[in-house]
Amino acid sequence: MNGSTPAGADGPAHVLVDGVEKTYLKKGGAPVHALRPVRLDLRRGEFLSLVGPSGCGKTTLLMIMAGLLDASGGTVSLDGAPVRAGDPRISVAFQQPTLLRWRTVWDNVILPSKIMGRLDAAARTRAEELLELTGLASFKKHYPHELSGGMQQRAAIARSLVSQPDLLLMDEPFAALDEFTREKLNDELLRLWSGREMTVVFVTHNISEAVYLSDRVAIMAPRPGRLIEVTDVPLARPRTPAIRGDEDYFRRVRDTRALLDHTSDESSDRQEAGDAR
Amino acid sequence: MPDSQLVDETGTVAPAGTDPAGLPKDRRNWIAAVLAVVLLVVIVGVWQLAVTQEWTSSLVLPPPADVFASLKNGFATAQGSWWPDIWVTLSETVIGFAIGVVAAMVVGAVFAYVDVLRKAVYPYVLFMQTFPKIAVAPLLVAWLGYGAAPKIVISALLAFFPVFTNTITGLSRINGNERRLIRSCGANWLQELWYLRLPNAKPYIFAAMDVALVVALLGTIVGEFVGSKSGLGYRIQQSTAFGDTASVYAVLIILGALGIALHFVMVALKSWLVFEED
Repeated sequence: MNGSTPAGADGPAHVLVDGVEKTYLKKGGAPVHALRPVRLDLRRGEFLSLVGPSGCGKTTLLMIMAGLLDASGGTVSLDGAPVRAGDPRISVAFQQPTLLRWRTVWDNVILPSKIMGRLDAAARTRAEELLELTGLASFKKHYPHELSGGMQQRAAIARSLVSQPDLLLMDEPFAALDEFTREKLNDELLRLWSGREMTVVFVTHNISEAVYLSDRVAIMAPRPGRLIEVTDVPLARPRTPAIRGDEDYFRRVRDTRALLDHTSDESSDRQEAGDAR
Repeated sequence: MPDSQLVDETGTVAPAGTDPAGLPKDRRNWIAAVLAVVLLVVIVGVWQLAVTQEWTSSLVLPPPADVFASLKNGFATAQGSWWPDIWVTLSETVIGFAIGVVAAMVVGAVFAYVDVLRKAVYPYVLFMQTFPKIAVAPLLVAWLGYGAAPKIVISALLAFFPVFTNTITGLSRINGNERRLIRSCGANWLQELWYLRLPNAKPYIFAAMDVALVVALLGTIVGEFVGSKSGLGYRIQQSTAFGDTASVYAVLIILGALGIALHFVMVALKSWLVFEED
């Protein structure tokens, strides 16, 4: 597993996922391996995607990294300190926008800072700026149900950035959006990320999205959930919609898809062999 | 409340206030109001017809004019005024309702949080819930006398259960991601209650309070039937005993109005306190 160390990394890892695994014990049955031990390290400011079919453990891994799920083994550390739920250095964005329906866009965006007791003038200014950047400045007083899906997800991203996290964990944030909105939000996310010293771990099952966004793509496979390979995406930055028509980009997407197809064939073969037994 | 407009990516505003029949909203409201009045006229008309045609004895069905006279008499003159009785019934109902609802929310919150307690006490709760609680009214009057106390207790008892079950449901039926979000912000249990569980439970609790209000009034009237010296329930019993059916009908109309008035107080309270998507 050569690709698990970032190229040109210097010093100790920024984020270290060390032997993290998750096993569910079933009463009177064999234990279910949701995630086989994973080792990953990320350098500061890196954009890494976790890609794989359902059941490959990508969301499980993300939730463990967020401290929201306990690992059965292994540790996740950020700058040498283990992560925990409520860690102010970490923000999480979920598959649904998860905006509280009884709070306005503004009240939703400042909620994490409020709960953390860090809602000062600087945080308010950042919230204002982020709403401006995501085009939601005039929707501050609106309620979530009055916004489109894309706008809701933008508000959720703005919310996750107010606390200036070192590590942003995103769980298929654009999966529910249409292709056009998704591509638009991909570009917005890159724009927001490029100005910050922020490491992103992005879970998706969309291969082109993963390649477009990431410095590295971690490919995962199901049954049992595991990390197969981490590949570099040496496409130039900043990435613009123009590269979506780029031959080099297409080849990267195709190669990644081939890797994924290969692993899913393998696991379905194994599954069949298991069934036959 | 914000404008109930759905604004999409391109800023298009969805049309609101039309129905499949194509009638504009204010026109529909107007027609509905006229229909409501027509319905009232029809009901009173058939009632009057039933009296004039002597389909039944006036002891069973008094003429509308008599009922109206009885109503008017009680409001216009000090003699046999409705006001003291309305006050007694209203205060017993409101106090019973308030006690029942507050107790239900407190106990419900404890149950929602303490799993062991919920499981231990649940069989008793189920028993009490299905038990016809007004059956204990005579016992309560025997214990607490002819005053307000037994009525308040019955009202509170009846108001308790709908609010109690909905408090538990509203506090525990939480979206998984919303919970994870709040936890990822490092919220303690009190913050989770304040920012997530309570706002989530509000619509549940208010829906139950609507029901609780109706049963609280019911409890008070039953309590007054069993034993009292005042209140609208007492007036019904007195009037029935004297064969004054018109006054019984008058009290029923007052009770209906009282119920509706309380309901609208609830609606106002709800629109003030609860966020509604509409």
